[in-house]
Amino acid sequence: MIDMNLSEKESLIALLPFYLSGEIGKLEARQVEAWLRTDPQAPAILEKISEERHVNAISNEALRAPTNGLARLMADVAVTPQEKTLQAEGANLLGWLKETALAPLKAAPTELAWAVCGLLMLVTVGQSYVLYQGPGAPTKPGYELAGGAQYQVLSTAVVKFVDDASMGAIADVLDEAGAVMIDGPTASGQFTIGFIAREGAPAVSERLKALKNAEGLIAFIAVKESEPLGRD
Amino acid sequence: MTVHPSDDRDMDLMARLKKGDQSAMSVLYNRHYQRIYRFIIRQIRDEMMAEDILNDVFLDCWRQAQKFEGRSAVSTWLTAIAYNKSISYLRKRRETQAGDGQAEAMIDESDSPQTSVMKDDKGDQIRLAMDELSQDHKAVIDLAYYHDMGVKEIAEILDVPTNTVKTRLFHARKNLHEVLIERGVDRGWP
Repeated sequence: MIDMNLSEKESLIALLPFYLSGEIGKLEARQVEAWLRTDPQAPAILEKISEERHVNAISNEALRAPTNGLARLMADVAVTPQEKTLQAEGANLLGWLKETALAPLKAAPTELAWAVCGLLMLVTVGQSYVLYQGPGAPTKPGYELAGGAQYQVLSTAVVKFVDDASMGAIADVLDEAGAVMIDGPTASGQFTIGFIAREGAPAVSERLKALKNAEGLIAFIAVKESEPLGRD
Repeated sequence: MTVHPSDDRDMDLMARLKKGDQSAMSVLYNRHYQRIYRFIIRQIRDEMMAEDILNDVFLDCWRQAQKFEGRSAVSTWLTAIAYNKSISYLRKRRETQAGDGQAEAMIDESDSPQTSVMKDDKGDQIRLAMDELSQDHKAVIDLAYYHDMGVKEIAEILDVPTNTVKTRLFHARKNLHEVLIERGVDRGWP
């Protein structure tokens, strides 16, 4: 689409960065290509924008994010409850109403059914407040139940990664092993990880073995002595 | 933005996040943190604060996962959160400085020995000129040039109409040209 605040040529110039990245519609791409063929000035402008993209990429690539960001984030995640939307709460409530609560009321008048429905919604909203906002909200680290009973931590282990292990590789191997970062690093560079309950996942002992075999990534790993291997 | 296979992977991770799966959070973080960090620090130019905002972005992602409806790519959603947090931080910083009677914090623009030597290089002049652009112009250039966002995605992130994205990008380039002229580099316009 040609922008009315710009001349036709200016609009085409404004599209060139998107043409170069491929983030442009077919119609606009055809307009740009027709202009590139007919305006002798156009290829030089395209070349300049390509140069600007190159310089901008170099500037960005030189910036490196902190390497301890994941441990910090996961520590915060462990103590932060997720917000529930009304839609999600409503879906849960409606399912429960349909299957359980309203079943005996099938033969009752519609007005009575709606009154019961309204009452139950009030109860649910009240519970949500207590769980996520009120005095019952989590206030201290508690990783045994993170986000729901199905994410119970079965066992914890102390692990030290090799010095040059990338965060991406660490995250991938932990994800594959059904483990999450719980704490760390300590002054000696050790982390505490937890093996979480996950449907279809191998036994914790197998997952531990898989982590031990993660070549070039883990310097050592040991299950905490006070906590025997959990069962799936 | 074109739909890539990686977008599907992100959507899967968001579905797991909605169920409270913390391990999905660590994978999502690793897929996006470098790019988001770079975007934040280019906006606010404060390393320590950029680390805090980066953490806040992903913590918001965790906290508000239920609100993500999949209408946009996860990367667009994360970048929009990062942009809003950066803007909010810059606004507070300006207000604090105004309240304290301080001048705008000056970022040390003096050249290190290395950059002084490199200033003769046209590419470095362009880089330095880009750093001098206004925050709005830097954001649109970064999103289009480095993050390969399309017009619609940038409009969503900056919360402006799509035509404004094109106009803003055009004027950002024009300002870049003027800054380069001041620096003694004339590449011609447009």
